Amino acid sequence: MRISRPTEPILVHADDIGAAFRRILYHPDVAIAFAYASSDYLIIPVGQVFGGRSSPPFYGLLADLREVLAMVQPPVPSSLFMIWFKKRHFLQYHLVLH
Amino acid sequence: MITIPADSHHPALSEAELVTPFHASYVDDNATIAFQSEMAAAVDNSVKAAFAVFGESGCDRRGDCLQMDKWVPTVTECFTFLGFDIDTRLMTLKWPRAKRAALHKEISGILARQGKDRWVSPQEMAHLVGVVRSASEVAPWGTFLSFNLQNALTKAAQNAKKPNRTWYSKHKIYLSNTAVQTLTQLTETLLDPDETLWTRPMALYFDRDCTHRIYSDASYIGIGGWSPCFSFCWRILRDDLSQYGFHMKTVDRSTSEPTGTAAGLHINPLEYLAAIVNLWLALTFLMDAGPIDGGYILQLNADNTSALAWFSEAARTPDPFLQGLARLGSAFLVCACRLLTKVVPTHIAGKKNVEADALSRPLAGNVVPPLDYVMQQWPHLQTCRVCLLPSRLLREIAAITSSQKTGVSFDMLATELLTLRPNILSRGVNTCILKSTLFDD
Repeated sequence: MRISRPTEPILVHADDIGAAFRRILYHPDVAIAFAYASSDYLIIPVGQVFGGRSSPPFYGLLADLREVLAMVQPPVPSSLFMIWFKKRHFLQYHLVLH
Repeated sequence: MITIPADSHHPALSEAELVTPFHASYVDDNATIAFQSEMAAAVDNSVKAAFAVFGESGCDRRGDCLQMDKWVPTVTECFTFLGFDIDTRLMTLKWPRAKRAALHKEISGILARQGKDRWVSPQEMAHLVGVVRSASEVAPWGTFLSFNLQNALTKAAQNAKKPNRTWYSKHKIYLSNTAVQTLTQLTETLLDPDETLWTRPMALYFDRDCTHRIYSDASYIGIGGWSPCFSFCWRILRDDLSQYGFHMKTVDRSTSEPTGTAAGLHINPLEYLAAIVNLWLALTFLMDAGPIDGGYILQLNADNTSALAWFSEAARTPDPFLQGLARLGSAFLVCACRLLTKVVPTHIAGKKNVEADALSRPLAGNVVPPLDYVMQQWPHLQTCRVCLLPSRLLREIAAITSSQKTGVSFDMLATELLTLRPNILSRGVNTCILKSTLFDD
């Protein structure tokens, strides 16, 4: 960007996804592997735990998806964003999620 | 504003690419980058993308994916991302001063311990190594210093009889003189007002096409180097290296190889020495040439992987000679940064490094060829000018690498050595009588 426009200000905005790993849900068959006991209770995590070796790469799939979405400019409101994206990039979307 | 020329790694963007915002994600940290005119739309798009992927605001019992307490309401040219201060106006990456101040406080506390109490736990040492190494991405001193501290940690781990669960936090690593010197050097540079020590221009951070190439090689008979870009060549033979204080191995007269287990400098340090002399010479040329847009990318070619590795992983070795030479090499890299120059150590196959090889190696029968004979044999050298190196350069390198001075002395020495200049002979000057290209200054 700086090479192409040496004199134009380049602005940046940084953000952070809250409770990132927990937003990715485990398959019920896998969740039990991350279960732990606390007092009289058996806790089975539904969302990914922090510290799990598989958490970053699984989360990374959706992080990459957001990255791609953020770089395209669809002429629709956010509520229709995913529908628009699925239609436009169905094949790639299908490959990423499966 | 900083101007950076396009090259094969980073060509100019197309019109379509110019209006597309850029988004970078590293796990949960994200950055949206765009020109001023497109920034509002870019942030809007980034937020929509987050809601599309992770769920709309107010729809999730775990809270919104973009929460107000973590949301930065401003866009800026200077921001902190993944632990570094990034400035898109000055186009620099900097290790934040707050982090440096915290490290300074921690090290000052360790150095204040006296006598028998001057020790650190493996946990403390590992923390120091990790913090300094994270900074080495942008700081040329960082790599050198972190490996120096790593040596102390590795030694302690090797000496531990039975590392148990408390070893990591309770064991005592007594600080050697080298470790104390390293920590002292760190404290002296951390809060230095000259922030270039902990800052790197982005133009010198990413891969770019080289602007200049230099080549060096060494044998037990001598060292030599040349550059097609600067049009220079030089060589120093073993007798002169010995005379100026380098401990050379005794070599067999017929094979030019060391005899038995002869003591003295191995070929790897000689290759490293040749590369350092070559680097010094190139830096003097660049100083005289002055700055250019985007800085210089100096490709330092050699056919010895150890010597090249010491440029990027200096001081892994406990050998005091190499430690000294590595400190000097690191000091030259710091000077290169100040000259907006990135040094890229690059391996070249020995069979392709023919010119430098010819400058440093004897002919069959262990005959050292006259310099003009070598230059006539190799077409690329015919256009080069012979560079006479100041003998003080060799004397100082030999002296400083055999002493136990601190890194700050090396920094000053490197700066001082860069005030020296080679004596460049005109093309066509008779060099028949020249053995080593040296002059007494």
